[in-house]
Amino acid sequence: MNYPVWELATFGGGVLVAVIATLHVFVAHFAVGGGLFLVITEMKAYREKDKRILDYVRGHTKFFLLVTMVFGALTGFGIWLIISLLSPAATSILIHNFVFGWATEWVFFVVEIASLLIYYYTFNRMEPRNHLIVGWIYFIFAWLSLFVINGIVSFMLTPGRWLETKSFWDGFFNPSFGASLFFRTFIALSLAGIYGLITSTRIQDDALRQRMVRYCVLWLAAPFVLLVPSAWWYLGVIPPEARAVISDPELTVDTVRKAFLVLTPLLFLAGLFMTLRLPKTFQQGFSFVLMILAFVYLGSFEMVRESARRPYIIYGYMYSNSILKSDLPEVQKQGVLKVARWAKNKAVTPANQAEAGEELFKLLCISCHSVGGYRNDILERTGGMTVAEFDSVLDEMGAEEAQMPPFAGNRQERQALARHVLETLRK
Amino acid sequence: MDPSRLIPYPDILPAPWWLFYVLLVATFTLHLIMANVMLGGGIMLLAGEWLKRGEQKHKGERMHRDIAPKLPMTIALTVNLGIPPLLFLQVLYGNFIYVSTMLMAVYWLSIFVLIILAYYGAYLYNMKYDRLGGSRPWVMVISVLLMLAVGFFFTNSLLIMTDPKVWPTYFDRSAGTLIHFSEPNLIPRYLHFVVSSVAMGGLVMGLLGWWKNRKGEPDGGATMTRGLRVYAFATLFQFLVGALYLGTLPNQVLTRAAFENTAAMAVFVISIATALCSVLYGMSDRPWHTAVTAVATIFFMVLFRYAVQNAYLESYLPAARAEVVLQLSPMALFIAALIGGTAVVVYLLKLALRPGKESQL
Repeated sequence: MNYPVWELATFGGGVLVAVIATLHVFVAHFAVGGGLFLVITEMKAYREKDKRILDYVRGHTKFFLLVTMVFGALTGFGIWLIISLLSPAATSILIHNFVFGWATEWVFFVVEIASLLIYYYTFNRMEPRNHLIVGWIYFIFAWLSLFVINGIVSFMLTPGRWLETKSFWDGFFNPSFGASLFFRTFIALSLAGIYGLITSTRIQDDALRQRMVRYCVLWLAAPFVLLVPSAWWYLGVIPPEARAVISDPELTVDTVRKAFLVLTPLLFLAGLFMTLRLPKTFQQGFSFVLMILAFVYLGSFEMVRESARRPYIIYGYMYSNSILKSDLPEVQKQGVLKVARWAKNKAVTPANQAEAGEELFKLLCISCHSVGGYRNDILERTGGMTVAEFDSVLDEMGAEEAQMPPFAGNRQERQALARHVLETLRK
Repeated sequence: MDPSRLIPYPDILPAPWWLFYVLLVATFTLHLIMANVMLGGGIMLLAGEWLKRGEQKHKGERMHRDIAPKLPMTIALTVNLGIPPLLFLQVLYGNFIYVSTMLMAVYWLSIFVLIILAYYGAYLYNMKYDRLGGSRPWVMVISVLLMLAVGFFFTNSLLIMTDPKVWPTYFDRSAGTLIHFSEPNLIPRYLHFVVSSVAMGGLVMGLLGWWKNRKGEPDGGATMTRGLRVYAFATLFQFLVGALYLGTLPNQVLTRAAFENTAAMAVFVISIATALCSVLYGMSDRPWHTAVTAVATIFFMVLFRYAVQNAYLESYLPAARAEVVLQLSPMALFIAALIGGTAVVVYLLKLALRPGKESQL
């Protein structure tokens, strides 16, 4: 009720967030696990006195640098840009509450950049022991970055005692902090194996390629032993209402959750399949198939996690449409248009029905619903509805329709919104 | 419509306002210097491509050899050093900057894509230098244009942020495509940044020349002189652009920032003095003196810039100032991380510079 709303009706902002965020987490987790992969594989090269493995690590580091430091870092920046456009009020809460968390994460990021550049540029020009120290420093600080970000991201789903105390530490070490940290760490290690397959399947020497492919499969598969229990733990610590939302068969998220469950063994088994002695071109092609599977896997996890928050953007504190839970009764009493700073019409009148309805749709619905777009298409959701039926949906919001916040407006606003959706948008 | 009605209420600050202000000014100065070096480096590479076309082929080749391998790293550092000022800006002026970026959302969101492309362009230019052949200059042209676009979008957002009078245009156009052309200050403000980048590109070239000269490389001295001349002439030209910048500020802003605010006026006069010194040092081939006075100029200009910003927002800030509820332990975490992180970076640099034996494999 505090900020303007970016008019993205057809496309829907949710799709933009999903695309940017999934691309980012897919690379950002690799930036963590891949760091450990680099040092452990370099140690393997020294232990086995095999220069070819060392050459492989060097080539993989270049790939790692170009993927994580450019694409990974900047898509992270992209998430910041898109969330501040789509949910400025929630972004502002995250920024103000965790400013020193973000600032700390930035320091870790500086060390990451410095260590990774030095690691890459001093390959074969530094004593192995020191070079490994640089690699370890990279990994430790990359994981510490994950540690900090994890505290803030998990806060949004389970703010815990923060709701009463507003204390940084209560928000940071929130109920899902541990489960989320373990889960993400194991995902990161598994992704290191998947990215490793992209480069190891390109090794020319047949015997070495098979060895390294199996080595990467070990990275891919072994973390699953702990990844599955940590996912279970994660599910156990989220609010029961959130569990109900992600298991509601009428919602898209239920399908996504099922896809996640199917992909867990599928990814594991597809990884094991790579241990067979297969032709090089097939291995190369299949490594990309694994990559896509892993992308969808991680994307489905993030989507389930995001959906679990519904109808909130910060659970129990701020609804998806940026209305504070504590403000809702007052907003309902006074009316959305009167309370919203960025509403042109301050009340619904017979003369401004259409314009007010459009404003209400922007203020209350556009944060989750697209108009004819891919995500939560309002036209599809309201297909065939009469004004009375739509009105009863608005009435059930926050109760029967638990994934949506309670309708925040007054009687006239409800009618104006219903007419806008059914008579203007559906025209 | 009264724009002050549109200003969102601010969120609670966990530390005093002045502390974030100090952090903002300090980190923004560092970011601005690095952004200048990045864009200036790109422009120098383009100048090198131009030289290679004529009879000064070897000069152009040298410029490429000196600058191209470092450009991707300067982009990485610019992005990295851009994070803290954007963070502290959002802490102090979040209720202004979120609105301004929303009004130009399409361009604002494009920024990270443009930087990714500029970044890969810089890598491509360096790594595939020979293989790119005739298309090589175009790769750098595109990278530089992308950087220029990013700079323009930042200028635009920071200007919209300080001028709530333009905010009500949202009610006629909410697609997020506002460029604040109605403010005459937009172009001079942006040019100020671009010219500063050319100067800093020259300065970095001068310092590289000095370093090469010290190592005994024959062309070091010439590179140094050429770079410092670029710095000096660009900075002299900057006086014209700066005058245009001041001249296009709204009267009440200029009066408030410069004439009624003694501290800001003093800062401005000092910055002019350091800028003049840097030009003189540049013309007399003293790279480090030039660098120190140039950095001091940027620092004082940043201070003056914030005085201008506060003058713009003067009538809006009192009502929009945030409440402070101190939470000092997270700040202690940040300070500990900063000290620890700095120590680790110093250690890493020591390891990197220590001549080592390569592996026996």
